[in-house]
Amino acid sequence: MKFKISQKEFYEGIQIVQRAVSNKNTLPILSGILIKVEDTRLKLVATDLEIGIECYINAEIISKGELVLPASHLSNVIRELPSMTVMVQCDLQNKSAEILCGHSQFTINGFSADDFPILPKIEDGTHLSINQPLFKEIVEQVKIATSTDETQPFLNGALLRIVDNQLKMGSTNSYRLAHREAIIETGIDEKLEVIIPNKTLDEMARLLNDDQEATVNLQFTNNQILFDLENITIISRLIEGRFPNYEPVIPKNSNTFIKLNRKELLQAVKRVSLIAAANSNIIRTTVTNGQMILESANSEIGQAHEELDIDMEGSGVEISFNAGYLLDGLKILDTDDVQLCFSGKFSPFILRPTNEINYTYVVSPLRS
Amino acid sequence: MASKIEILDNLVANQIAAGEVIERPASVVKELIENSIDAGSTRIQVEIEDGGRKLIRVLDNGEGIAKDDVILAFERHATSKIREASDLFSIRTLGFRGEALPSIAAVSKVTVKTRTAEDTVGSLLRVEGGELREQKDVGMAVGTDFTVEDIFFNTPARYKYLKTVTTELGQISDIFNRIALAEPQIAMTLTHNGKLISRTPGTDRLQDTILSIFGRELVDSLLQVEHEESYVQVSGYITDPTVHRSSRKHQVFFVNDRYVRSSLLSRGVDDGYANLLPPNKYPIVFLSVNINPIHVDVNVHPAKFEVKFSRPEIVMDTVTKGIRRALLEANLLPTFKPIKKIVDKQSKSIIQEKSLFEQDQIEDFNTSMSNSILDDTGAEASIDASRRTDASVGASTSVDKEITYSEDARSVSEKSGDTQYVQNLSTSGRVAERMKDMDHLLEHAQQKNWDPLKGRGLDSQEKGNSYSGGKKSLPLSSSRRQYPGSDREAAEFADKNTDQRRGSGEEVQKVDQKLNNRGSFIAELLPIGQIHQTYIIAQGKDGFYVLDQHVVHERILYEELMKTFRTRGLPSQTLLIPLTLELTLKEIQAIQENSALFDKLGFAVEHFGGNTVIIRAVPGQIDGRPDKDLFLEIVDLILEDKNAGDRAELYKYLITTLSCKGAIKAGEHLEQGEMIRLLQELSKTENPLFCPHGRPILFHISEHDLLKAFQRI
Ligand SMILES: Nc1ncnc2c1ncn2[C@@H]1O[C@H](COP(=O)(O)OP(=O)(O)OP(=O)(O)O)[C@@H](O)[C@H]1O
Ligand SMILES: [Mg+2]
Repeated sequence: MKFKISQKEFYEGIQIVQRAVSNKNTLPILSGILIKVEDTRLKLVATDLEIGIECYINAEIISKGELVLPASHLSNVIRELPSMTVMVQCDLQNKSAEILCGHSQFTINGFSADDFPILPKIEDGTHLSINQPLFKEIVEQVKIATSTDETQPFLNGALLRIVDNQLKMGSTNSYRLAHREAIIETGIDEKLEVIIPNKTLDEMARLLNDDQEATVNLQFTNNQILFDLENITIISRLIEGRFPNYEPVIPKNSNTFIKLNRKELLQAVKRVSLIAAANSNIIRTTVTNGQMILESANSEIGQAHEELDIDMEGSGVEISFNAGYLLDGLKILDTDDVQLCFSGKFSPFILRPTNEINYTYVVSPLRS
Repeated sequence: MASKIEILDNLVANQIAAGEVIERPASVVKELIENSIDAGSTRIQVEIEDGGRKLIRVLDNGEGIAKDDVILAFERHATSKIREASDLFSIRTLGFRGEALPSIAAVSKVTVKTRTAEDTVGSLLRVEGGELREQKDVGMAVGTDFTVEDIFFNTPARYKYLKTVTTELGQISDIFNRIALAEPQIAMTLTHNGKLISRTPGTDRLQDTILSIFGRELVDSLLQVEHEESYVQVSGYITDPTVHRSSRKHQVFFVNDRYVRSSLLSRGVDDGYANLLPPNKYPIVFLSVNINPIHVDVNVHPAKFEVKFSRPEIVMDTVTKGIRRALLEANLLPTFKPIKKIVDKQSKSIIQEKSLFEQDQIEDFNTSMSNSILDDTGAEASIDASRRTDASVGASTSVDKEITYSEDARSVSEKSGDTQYVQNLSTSGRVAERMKDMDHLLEHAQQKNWDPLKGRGLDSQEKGNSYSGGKKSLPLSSSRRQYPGSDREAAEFADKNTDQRRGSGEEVQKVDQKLNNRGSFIAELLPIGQIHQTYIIAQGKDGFYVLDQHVVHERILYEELMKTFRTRGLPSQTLLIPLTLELTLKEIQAIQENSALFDKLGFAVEHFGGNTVIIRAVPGQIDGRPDKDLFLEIVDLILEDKNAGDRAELYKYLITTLSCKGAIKAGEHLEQGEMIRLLQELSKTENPLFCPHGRPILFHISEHDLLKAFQRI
């Protein structure tokens, strides 16, 4: 087993799969990356048995074979090599790899590839293809509201639903909620409903492309989801359980609608949080006569007061909430303006972008 | 006095655990002393000859036995203490079976002289091997004088089974001490072959009794425990975490004033000290559990050494909480080298705040005993004297001991990682030795007519010089150095006593002041940096401090949250997705009965019918905690804590949980500015030395410690 590869491409490939490397040391082989030399290219694989990432990279193949090398050492060594051609020559008998680059020479000991788990192949199941930048945006907008409360595992991810050619994705940690809808070109016949784990959402957001032309293929089975990007395959376990039917939570009959500049609001909330942080991040918001007032007071530190000009429709309102939750929603949007819809002091309120995009972010109030 | 003793009817008698009552002389001593205690005595004198083989005499000033009852007292199941089977479940006396006297009389020669206040003349009864030999009137004071001679004279097999005089005396002394600790209101003495071995003052203060038995050094490291909840009251003394032993042998428990062995209570103690002691080390404790006798079964062991609780978890938990509280309130500052600090600290928290003896009592006591054991120099000398005795007896073990001792001291510089414990060991080592040496003392007491209470009169210096070999004299001088200020301390101590009597107003003010100043020194510390991104190292006026960043922050958050909570309750975060929980009926009732409490905590709970509750809002403080766990834990707490009035614990628990979750974690990088801020905030807290869970927040390494560690002094 022997190949030549550019240092840069090799390192990029390692980085792509490295996030799936297990950091529990129950199974030592899972701390490694499987390198499989095929006819014309190299396949890198890593998995922690919850998620697996496979990545193909181009290389000059001299002889075939496969070996598992410890991810952290491999990655550290390749990162520090000069940007030149790297030659890797493996001694499959001794399960070690010799890495040569310029004047550098390393030998790294690894594990036999026979012991490495084989990622399941999903052959049947539902197929679906989505534009990559669109899916990336959806994932990013939804993953901010997921929960990490282990007592409610079904909330530790996002619900993905597809009905005809409509995709709906949502998440919540009970304090706030994110929901996104989009039309996809190639719909599916049956109804589909799966919960994608947090970690997988993170990897998706990282690996999905901004290239308008690119598509991602999704494949589903009962308990697994596979994302096929061009040279990368991600396979992930799905979360079992029933995701709560959250749509009724989104207020339908708001009576205060305001529109304001997103950046200004973001910055004002950030500044008020400087004081609010000492008060478990509670800020009080008052909406009256074309103005939005953000306040926080702490008996020891002092107080903060911010006024914002707004376009306003409906009655005034006063509401308290955790500033952090609103900030998360504001940060993920990129429109100039946003809309806030209130339905009273003790009801959740909505944050929306003002363009066509069908995104809803809901924050639950605090009562103090 | 009217006839009092009655023979239990058969049914009752059969319900009583049968078993070997008298195994050895110590069993006789135990039974006789317990009878004296049950008789309401305030003074009990125990005299032993030849380890109890020859003679055991217990003399008390209790109520005595009425003339008509004396013979009856020796009949099986004759007792004045219970009448009916149901009485067995509410036993307040130590005896209840009516089994001890007949058992003793069956295997020895007993002479009892006893008189009640009603009788003008006492009666004497002589019983040998269970047979009445003599009965006559005698003139005597009210009380009972019990003499047991020639134990097992008629059962040679058992006589042969007796161990050496030293061993038997050790057992006797052990049981005597334990009973004495349970009855601090009774003045008790133990003599062997005419030599005084133990003497307790009977001041009704446990610490006085501990002092008289274990000496000043142990008393100096004691913390008082006083805690009550769920009908269980736990009180007594425990050692601060720097004093420990490698077995649980020195944990003394009393349940309703009865000395018991209990692994359950030991476990409670272990939990209380969790994380505070080195592995496999145990504190020394003297703990008394008081509980309605209905909830304890004392009739599970022939010698009444064991008890069974109806709700063992609660008892165990109360012990744990009591200990945690004591450690917390004691405001212990763990130090690199605790010896001197502890003496200082203790002189504040125990000696100064609560005087051991009122001045007049000290005088009384001093004069009543020919040699004071209260005096610091006396206590010190007695320890020295014990060494001296070891040496003068020429026992090679004592030489070994001394060598290990000096090696301990040396290893400080060798294994810096272990320094803290090594240093601690030297404290516990001394106390431990003192306790372990009880056996040796007894041995020597008997071999050399040495009186442990006469330590003061000995010139230890002179004796120290009297044995040759440089090594051996080393620990003597080092032990003296550890008590540099004993005279000054004694003076302070006396001052404090006078202070104390000047009225409580001043006292309160002093305590307040102390609370306020407690952390002021922390604000002046200069953070040097972090180690392992977990501990803050800060330089102070004297050496440096190591602080655990997580618990520092936890303490700060805790007090902030506590303040918010007191003023306006906790803010409530409405849930978008309500939590639905299936609970038991009992849990649901508890929630309904405490709905106001849940409101104040920020929960909005709705009973959905059946076993289901819906939680619509949770305390809106800190993100990232499992709401469900928090809620269920609070429900559990309510169920455990029947004391509906006392909610403070619950709030405290909740707030502790919240603050812990929100605190910066180990492994987080901190900027200089952040560290300074943390220290300043910490300095303002009420208890900057312990986290709400009772773990230490910081410890101190003084300049002196450093000098010592590097052998510059
Ligand atoms: N020192 C004493 N002073 C007064 N009464 C005594 C004394 N010793 C024994 N008695 C009387 O003698 C009775 C019998 O004593 P004994 O120790 O045999 O039984 P007990 O104490 O009732 O039960 P147990 O067998 O559990 O000790 C006691 O109930 C008590 O009335
Ligand atoms: Mg008795």
